[in-house]
Amino acid sequence: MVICRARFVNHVIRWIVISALLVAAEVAQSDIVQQQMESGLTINAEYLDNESQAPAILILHGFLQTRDSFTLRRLGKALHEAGYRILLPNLSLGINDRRQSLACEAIHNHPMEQDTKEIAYLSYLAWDQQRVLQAVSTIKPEPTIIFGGDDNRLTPEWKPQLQTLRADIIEIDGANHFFDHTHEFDLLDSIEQSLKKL
Amino acid sequence: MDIRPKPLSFSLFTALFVFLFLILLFTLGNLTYLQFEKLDEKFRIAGEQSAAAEIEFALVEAISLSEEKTRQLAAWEEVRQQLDISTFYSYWYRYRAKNNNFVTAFTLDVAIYDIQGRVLSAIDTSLLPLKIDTKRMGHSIEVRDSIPLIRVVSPVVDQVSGITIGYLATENHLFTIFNSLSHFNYIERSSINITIADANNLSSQTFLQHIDYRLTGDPYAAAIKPLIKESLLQLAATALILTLFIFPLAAWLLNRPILQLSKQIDRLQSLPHTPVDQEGVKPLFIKELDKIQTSLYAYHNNLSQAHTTLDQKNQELDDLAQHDPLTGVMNRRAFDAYWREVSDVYKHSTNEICLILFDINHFKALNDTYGHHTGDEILIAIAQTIKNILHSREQLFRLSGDEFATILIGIPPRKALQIAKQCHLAITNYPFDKLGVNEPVRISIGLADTSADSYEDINALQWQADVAIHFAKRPGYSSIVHFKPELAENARGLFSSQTHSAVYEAVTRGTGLVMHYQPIVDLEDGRPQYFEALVRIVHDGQLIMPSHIFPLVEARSLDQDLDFHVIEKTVSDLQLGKIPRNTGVSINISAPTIVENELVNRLAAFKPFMDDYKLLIEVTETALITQLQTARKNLEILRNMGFTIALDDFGSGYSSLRYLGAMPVDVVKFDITLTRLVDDRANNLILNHLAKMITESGHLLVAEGIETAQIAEQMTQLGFRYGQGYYFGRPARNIEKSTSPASTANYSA
Repeated sequence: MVICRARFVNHVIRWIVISALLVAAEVAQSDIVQQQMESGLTINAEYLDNESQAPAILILHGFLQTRDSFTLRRLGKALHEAGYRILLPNLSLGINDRRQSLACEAIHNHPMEQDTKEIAYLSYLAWDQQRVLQAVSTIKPEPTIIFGGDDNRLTPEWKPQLQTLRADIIEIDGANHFFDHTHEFDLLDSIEQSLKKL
Repeated sequence: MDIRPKPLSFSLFTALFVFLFLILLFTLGNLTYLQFEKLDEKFRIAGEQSAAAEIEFALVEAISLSEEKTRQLAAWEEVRQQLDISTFYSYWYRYRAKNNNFVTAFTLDVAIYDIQGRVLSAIDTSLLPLKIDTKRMGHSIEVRDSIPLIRVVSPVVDQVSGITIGYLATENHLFTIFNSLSHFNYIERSSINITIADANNLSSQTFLQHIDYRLTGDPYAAAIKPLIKESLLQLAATALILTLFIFPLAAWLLNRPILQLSKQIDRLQSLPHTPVDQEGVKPLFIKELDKIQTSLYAYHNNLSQAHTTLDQKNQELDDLAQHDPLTGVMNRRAFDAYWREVSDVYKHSTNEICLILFDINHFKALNDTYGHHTGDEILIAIAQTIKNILHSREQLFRLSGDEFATILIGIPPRKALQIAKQCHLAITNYPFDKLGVNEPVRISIGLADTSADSYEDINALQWQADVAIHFAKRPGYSSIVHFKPELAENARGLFSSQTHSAVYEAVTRGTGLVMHYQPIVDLEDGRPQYFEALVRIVHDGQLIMPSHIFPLVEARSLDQDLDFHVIEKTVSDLQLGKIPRNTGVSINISAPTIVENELVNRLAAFKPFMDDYKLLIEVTETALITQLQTARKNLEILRNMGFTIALDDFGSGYSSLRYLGAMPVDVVKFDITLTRLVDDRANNLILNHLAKMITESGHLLVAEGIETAQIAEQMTQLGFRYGQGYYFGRPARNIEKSTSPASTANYSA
């Protein structure tokens, strides 16, 4: 068991990935969807459907959080109103059908691989770096990567690598890791701009 | 019978009023207080009910709060996490559950049980049991060391499957919850106490019975109660002070003045008819009472004054009625009253009574010589002299002009005679020359007493005294005469006691009086011109003559009575036609009557006969002497009424020609004494001249006492026109129709 002492040390991602992935297309107008994982735990996700043919958007929360963290919830609501279908999953973090955020000082009895598997089930996380870069470079249209200018969680070696990619990289000046305060709107604007390219 | 309730004192009423007022005040205060107590009791009961409801509600709220908290904890995902993997339960219990904000201040302890009801891991400090009965969910109440606790057990449900996977129990501190509840209105929060030390599984209802608390009391009632008490006390104190202040004030302002008034009324009542000075009396502060006091004195003094004035007036009236204004001694009226009194007393006593009469000798002459003023002074001097000798209890009376009398009671005759002598001597020695009287003034005294005679009637004394004084005036008798029966023998004719009484009766009542008429004839033809009315008294078929009537009338001053009766009788005779028409009638009016105003009224009765009769009034000189002015005035009135005035008895006394000139006299009647002078040659001349003089001065002359034809002829020759006398006719009751044959014969010759 791993007790996470610092939420940022083992930080997996603070990406917002926008892709054309179609997940659970059969789900229509259903609020909460559940999926039992290999570990036996059930994870849940909120699906905001509007019966349009617009692409579905996956919004994934950060470490120990839930989809109810403010930025995500508002982002999801805004994009849903803009006509997109949204999927907002909660990772289990070792708790069956988790709905509440788990405090950092709480007992963490979820292994890293288990968390990764849950993310990977929904995304490219299980991919190796080469495959990711390959994918990014081959995605049509080009992916957009948005990050905060003041996000010190992004290690310095990531920046030059990202810039070598074909991907459209947007750096929002002054925004931190959580796109707090008014940077939330900058983020929303950037995402909506990217989506228009589709 | 009407019983008048006894009036009570003002002080008593005041005290009674104050007493009643205090009782009323006390009762009202008590009633108010009782009412307030009732209200307070109501508030208290309502407070108790409210408090019971409040504590029950608070308990329900506490339970619901505990259950809510337990439900929240049971829904905590970390609880499910513990049920899944309980390896770190004791760590979680200590660092997550106890320190987590999920566990509130009132939640003392938390425990998680597996599906069988066993605790996930035994914690040695846990208040909760190691095992729970999984069939009993919900709350239960227990008490530990007098601390009430609410234990709530809630199932923990798996979200995905909906299956109960375990249980969560909490232990909650009731008092802490109570303290967190908003507030208690009826219960004093700090007073809430549990009466049992340890108990388990209590129901709410059972537990409520073991809660002890104190009421805060209705805050308003609590606030009002001392206020009302204080107000009542203040009111009572104020009332008491006011009463204690008002009572003496009222007593001082009302009671004292009323008592003072009452005392003053007593004082005034003790001094009737005496004016009382208000100077020394304290003024009263109350206007109305002071007014009463002032009025009281004013009334009292006015009453006293009225009484005094009345007394004075009475005294004056009495004096006027009883006293002779000239001499100051008692008058005739007083004498009569006193005499009646003495008569009554004499009937029942053996006391000797002595009547003394005093008469001034020749008073008429004295009066004439020295004038009225001196005459009056003589009367005063004599009255005073006699009075000084008499004892104070013996009154002196003035019976008539110069006649005085006194009545001695219980004094022996010898002593009475001595007193009479003293009086006589004193008057003899009186220096009358000081009054300008140069001749001796003497008095005659007549005494009569009840000692020596057998007369039963005390009234006889008057007659006896009259007889005595009659002799005292006579020459040859002592000037002091004590009545003796022998004297009566000598004077039987004149002073018969019977005649005396008859005359007195007749004159005072008018009974037995008859008029006789004597003609006055014309000397030339002997025909009667008029008739003189002459009074007679018929007594027991006998006639009483004027010689017996007039002394008594004069002695008793009955002149006026007699004159008025004479007027009545004459008028009556005129009405009866006793006097022939075309003649006339003359009546004699005495001296005392001529000055009376009443006379004119009486004589008015003659008016109807004025046309058919010649009416004459005959007046003696005496009348004219005493009160000349009044007499003249009256005579002139009578003359204007149609009466002819005749001067009677001219020449019989101190005839004065002055009166003839001064008086309104039409006819002069020569007295019989003058007529008799006609035989004397020397006097004849005088008579002749006198007659001539009088006739020439305009008076008609009548000669009285013509008894023979010779005298009649002589008088005619002397110039007399009319004559009167036996020769022409004696006084008779009935007038003869024809004239006297004698006279006719004589005069025809």
